[in-house]
Amino acid sequence: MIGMAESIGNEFLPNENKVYKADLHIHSCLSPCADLTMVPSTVCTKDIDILAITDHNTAENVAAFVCLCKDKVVIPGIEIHTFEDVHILGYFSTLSDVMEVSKIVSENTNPLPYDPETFGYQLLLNESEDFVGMLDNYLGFPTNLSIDQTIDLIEKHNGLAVFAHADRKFGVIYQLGILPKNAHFVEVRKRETWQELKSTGHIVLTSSDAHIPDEIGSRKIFFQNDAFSGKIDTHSVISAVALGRFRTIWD
Amino acid sequence: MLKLSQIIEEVGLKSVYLHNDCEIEHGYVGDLLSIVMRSAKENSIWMTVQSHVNIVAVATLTGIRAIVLCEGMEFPEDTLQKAQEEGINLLVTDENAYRVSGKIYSLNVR
Repeated sequence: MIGMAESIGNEFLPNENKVYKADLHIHSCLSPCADLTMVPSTVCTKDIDILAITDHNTAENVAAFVCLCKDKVVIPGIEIHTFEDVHILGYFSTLSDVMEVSKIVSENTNPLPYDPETFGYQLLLNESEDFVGMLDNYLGFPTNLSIDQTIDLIEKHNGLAVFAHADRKFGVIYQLGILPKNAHFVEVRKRETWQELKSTGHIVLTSSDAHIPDEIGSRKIFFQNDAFSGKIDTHSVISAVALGRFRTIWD
Repeated sequence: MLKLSQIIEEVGLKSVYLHNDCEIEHGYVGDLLSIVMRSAKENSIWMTVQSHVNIVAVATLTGIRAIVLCEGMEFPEDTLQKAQEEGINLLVTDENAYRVSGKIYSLNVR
């Protein structure tokens, strides 16, 4: 699934004594429910080394963060809202993969009128951090893609699929009662779920799901320098996650 | 067609937010927003256990007038606030959606 060694954006050589902090679930001002200040100049000043931009059903703002967050590794991401009301995160090494997925997701939504004044503005950023437009298709609704189709879509585009906040609203355990058999990577909110899923051999992440600046890094994962083979870039971070080479806030 | 106030009284629902005493024509039960968006009719009362703020958006979109949160669950603050902004009636009950729906069905709301 993450076969290609391609990568984009910044790369760093691991520092021997450094522990790298990663928050792999952050919304930008494009998500209707996120604060308008979720822009690169705010997000990228936070005390984390690696971050993933994961807006609801779109990746249109990822490029601005990749371009403007100079001293961090920005993982191109998306949070897809499935037909079953389950949120699934996709992490990608390249912009082209995430944008292709974003396009397919958008083709699988039902365009419906919505009032941004009530349900939140969906603001597009350019690479100078200007607001350059609004998406008028509400991103907070489910797509027509099932859980299996979503995982398939992510993996076909060399991505890593992670069930978001599995034990909370719009999480797979909360919505459907149990974790599907094909689930390997799971983000959790509760310590008990973390314990349980670790004992069943799952790779469990703790990320913030930040919608406001203060939430960024409130949950995160930690990588030792030897988690990466060689340089630290989008591809090596995703590989390290896939191999479970990280600590959570509870390890 | 029945007044919402009549349904509330006959079924014994508890009001959390009453916007208006509208006429209810239909009922709907469901917890998956994708299905509700597709299937619910205008002027409906909707029985669910989903309390996320998006239910208000779904109600606004479909023309659902009242949401009944079942099984003793509570509406979160942001859902309540959004319902007040959008004029969606919010009700709660300790009973499950099957029992509540049965009672409303027997009042001839079909």
